[in-house]
Amino acid sequence: MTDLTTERDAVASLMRRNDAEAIWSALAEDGWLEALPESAEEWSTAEIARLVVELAAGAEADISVGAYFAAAATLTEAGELPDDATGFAVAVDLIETAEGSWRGRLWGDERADVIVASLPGGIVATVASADVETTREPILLLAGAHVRSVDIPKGAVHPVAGGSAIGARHDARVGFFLAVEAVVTAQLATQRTLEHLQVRRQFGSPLSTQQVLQHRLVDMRLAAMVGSALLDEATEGWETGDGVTASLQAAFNAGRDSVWVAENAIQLHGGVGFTAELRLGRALSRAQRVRTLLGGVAKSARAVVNTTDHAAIPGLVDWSVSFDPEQR
Amino acid sequence: MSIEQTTARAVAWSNEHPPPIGAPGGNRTPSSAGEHDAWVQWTRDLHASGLATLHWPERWGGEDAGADDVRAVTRVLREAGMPLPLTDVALNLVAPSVMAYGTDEQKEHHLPRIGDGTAIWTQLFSEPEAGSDLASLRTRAVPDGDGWLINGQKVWNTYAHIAGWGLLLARTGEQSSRHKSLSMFLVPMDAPGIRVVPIVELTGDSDFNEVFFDDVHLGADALLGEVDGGWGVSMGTLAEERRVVGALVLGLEADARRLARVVDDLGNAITDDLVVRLAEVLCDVDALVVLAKAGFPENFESAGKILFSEINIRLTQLGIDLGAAYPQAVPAGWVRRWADSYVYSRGYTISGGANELLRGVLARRALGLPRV
Repeated sequence: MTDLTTERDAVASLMRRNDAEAIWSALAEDGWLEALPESAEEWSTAEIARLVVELAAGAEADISVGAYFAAAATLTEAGELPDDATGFAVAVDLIETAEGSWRGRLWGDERADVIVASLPGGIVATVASADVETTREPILLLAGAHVRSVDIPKGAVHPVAGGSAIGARHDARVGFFLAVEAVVTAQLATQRTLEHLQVRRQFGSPLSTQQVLQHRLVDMRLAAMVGSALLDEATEGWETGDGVTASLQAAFNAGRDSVWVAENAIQLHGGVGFTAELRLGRALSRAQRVRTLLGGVAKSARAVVNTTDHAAIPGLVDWSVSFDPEQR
Repeated sequence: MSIEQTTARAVAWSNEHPPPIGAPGGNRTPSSAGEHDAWVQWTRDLHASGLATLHWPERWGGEDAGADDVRAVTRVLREAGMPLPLTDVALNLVAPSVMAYGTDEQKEHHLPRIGDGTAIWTQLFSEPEAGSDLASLRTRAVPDGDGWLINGQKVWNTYAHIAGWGLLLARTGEQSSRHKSLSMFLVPMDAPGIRVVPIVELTGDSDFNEVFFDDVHLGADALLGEVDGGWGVSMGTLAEERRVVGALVLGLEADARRLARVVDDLGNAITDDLVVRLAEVLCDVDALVVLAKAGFPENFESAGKILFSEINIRLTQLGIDLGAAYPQAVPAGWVRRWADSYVYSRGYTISGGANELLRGVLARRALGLPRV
């Protein structure tokens, strides 16, 4: 594993700028947007994930780089990374419309000029952002969600090499990077809530002295622990070659636990939690957008069940098949 | 020996040694004389195979195996639907304490008997007024000649009705000193003055007991560790008990895989509600397996018990619901197992420190919040 301490510190420094456009420019100027997963010997998906942690945790401005790196990684893996692109986004959950286009959600920064689209059947295709129409995603009208509805003319797409195999990895990678952003932001929201309860006094005492709030905070912390464990497993999976299953799990779980954590972070802050100033809405938006990935909760759940290893140990007799307590 | 070889060895043993009682949920005990004899023999066979003490030092008959080998064996036994051996407390709680705190004589006497599976032990910690708040226990041990005189009552003692020995935590100083005046003892359960009364639980079985001590005399050699040093021993023991969660998690994983196989076979016929619940369980169990394997962060040790016990309830409830919705697709033994496990699962959120207490511990130790 490469020691990325210096790189992470540098990225964290960049992210302290409170200007999204300036951060994107700085990332580009300093070469971070060329540190693409699988593109160079020293960078892997797992290592990029660690940088995304810094990006998600350190950003003062509301930017999201998860979709950027997921799209770029897929194009790199397919050997079709364009030399002159200024940014990448992903289009997911696309369905065919009666008008002859693909309709779905577009994830990523608006400056992206290349979109990597997941078509039905596991096919991945590229399309120029100039060729699509976008509107605000009606079910995700959250500040900083970076999700829009998109209509892609069929004639504008260019399938990439690799077929459905690369499609499965692409969808999983999108889920993985968006889950990283959601879990990290949920962890920050938990920490911020902990600090708030220790200083905020009501009825003469800090809120942190109330047992019900202590237990809620513990559960928020445990949810973050579970989310991190799944991300660790996914990271290890990408290190060893197959992070698909663990990434689908991490994304599904982030869409459940991180939403719950964000909701409680806002609730436990009280009125100030509802203000834009505390940026707790960012935790909610990042969790909600990963919840809608792959067609929503039920479809994501089926993907998790279908891909999680549940094979019996070969040759082992399962004596529980015939268990009968009446025979005790 | 590789993990694959360890797994193959465990599979071979498991296939040739049918469980004595099928696959009930939880940490159960024999309910009849016939069941007792079969379970004792099965336990001794397991020990004779070497699989129960794989991780023990060679000095005490083990193979110095690592944690991955132990997990491989445990995974096989859980996926085979095996019950826990009757030496569960002896192996996981008593043996580590004797190895860490015992005198040479105590080690020579007890470890070989635990190692060969002949010694069944019970843990004598909880009391009617000292459950999760263990430091308030009142059973007293006072000097008596060259030994000790024990008086008091314990409760929730698994295996006490069949155990030959007990690991006793008793007060040897002032009550007000709480955890600083407790000592640990190794107690022969046939000592005069000990009375064991089984408790009938809501499962209908009697897996737990009350144990009464009326002027029970113990020799000086019954003391484990230092006088008034019992809290340190017990914390190590309880830490082991929470580490046992790691083994229990593999039981969860086995049941989650069974559920997933059923859902896989049903394909698109199954409702979204059940699929979502299963996906949640699969994610939680996999995360818990990762956490248990890596070890919980310092001050977060209690998290494993909370997560295990609460996932266990959701998993077994899902199994029941799945069996009710698709009876043709679920083996009858599995449905009965999950029904049995569900009822027993309510005990796991209480034993080893009620989850509410453990959340308080985590709030103070892990989050640095004030005691309330």
